[in-house]
Amino acid sequence: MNCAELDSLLTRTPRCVEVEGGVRYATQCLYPSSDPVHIFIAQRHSGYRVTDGGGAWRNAQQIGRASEGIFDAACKRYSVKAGGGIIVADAPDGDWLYPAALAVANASAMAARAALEASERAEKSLNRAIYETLSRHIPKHQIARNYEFRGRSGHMWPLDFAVMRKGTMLIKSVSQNGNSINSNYATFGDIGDNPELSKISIFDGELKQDSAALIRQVAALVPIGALEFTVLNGL
Amino acid sequence: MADPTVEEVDAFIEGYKTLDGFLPDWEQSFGWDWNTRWGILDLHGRQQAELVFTINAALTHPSICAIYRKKLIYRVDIVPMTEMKPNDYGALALGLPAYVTGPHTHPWPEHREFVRLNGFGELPFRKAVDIVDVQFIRALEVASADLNIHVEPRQRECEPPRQAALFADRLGL
Repeated sequence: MNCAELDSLLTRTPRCVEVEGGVRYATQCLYPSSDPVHIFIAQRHSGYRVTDGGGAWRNAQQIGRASEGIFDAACKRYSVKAGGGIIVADAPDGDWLYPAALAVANASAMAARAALEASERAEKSLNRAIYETLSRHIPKHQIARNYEFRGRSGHMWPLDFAVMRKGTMLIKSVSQNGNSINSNYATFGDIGDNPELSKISIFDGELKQDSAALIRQVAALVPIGALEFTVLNGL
Repeated sequence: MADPTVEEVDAFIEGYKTLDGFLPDWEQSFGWDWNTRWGILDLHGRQQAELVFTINAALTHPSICAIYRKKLIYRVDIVPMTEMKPNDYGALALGLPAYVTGPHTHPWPEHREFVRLNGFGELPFRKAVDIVDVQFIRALEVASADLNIHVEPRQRECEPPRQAALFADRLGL
């Protein structure tokens, strides 16, 4: 084993691709989705402009958390600028190109991670709100958290809550995040219809129309603000 | 206890300080790096900070960190002149070079604003220093000048123990 051999093994995929107005360069930084961070480098009359081409913003959009706020910590840490959903660093000359490229790639990954963490915090906070609403009207011993229910396929599906009274109310939080939508659809789709069961997906904020339509095929879709009414009606 | 403010670190660096006695015994962690921690005393004899001496098993990379109230505030690294490291992009605005070759510090004044914005933990900016050999006393001279620590002549004996050199030789490092 030598360095040349290792270099070729570690750079098997082409890293630099010419695109209109500059080049796209694959870095070794990763987004939370495990996709590599690509940076875009354009030569300017003096030096270079390095951007992430909106990669962090697109990652954040996929999980429904795109907002300018995701860039705050990354811009402070890596001394880069963000505007219009794009992270930018200008290198005054070739010497500063590598530090600028490192800064943009790491800032982009950090911003995408910040969006994911915000999404996870929102989901936890939604689960807390669901539990508080349920526990106002239902004895705690009738509320199961992190419940599992066997679907028609035989698979055990995780649910955030189950309320056992006359029938069983299965509850799962949902957010505008591909994984969350898919998980709700697969879980309630496989559990199927049963007069003894009510299936509820709870959301906070907004869901895209197509995501809402998908969930409604398999469960009742209820905003957190209306959960109390749903619970009282279902009891 | 709340983290210190940057103003508290400024005041700490500005104030008169000495080292507590002699360099404590070296310890080796996991058979690799050697390290020891030397207390820093302020004018009133209180210890709120320490210098952490670390060197790799091959005894080629001495490093001294300054820790104030458990927070990293300064570092000096002696590395070979063949070793070139890129600076953090933020170093551009501070007038530091894009690459630093050989011995360098991670100085407090250049990190003041960074720490104010990001909190303690990282010191990403490097500044080259003129150190010609691989001895801790050189790193201590630089650190004590940058941090305003009075070092007694009898405290200048701060190299790793002899067995560390034997260990490095045995490994062929």
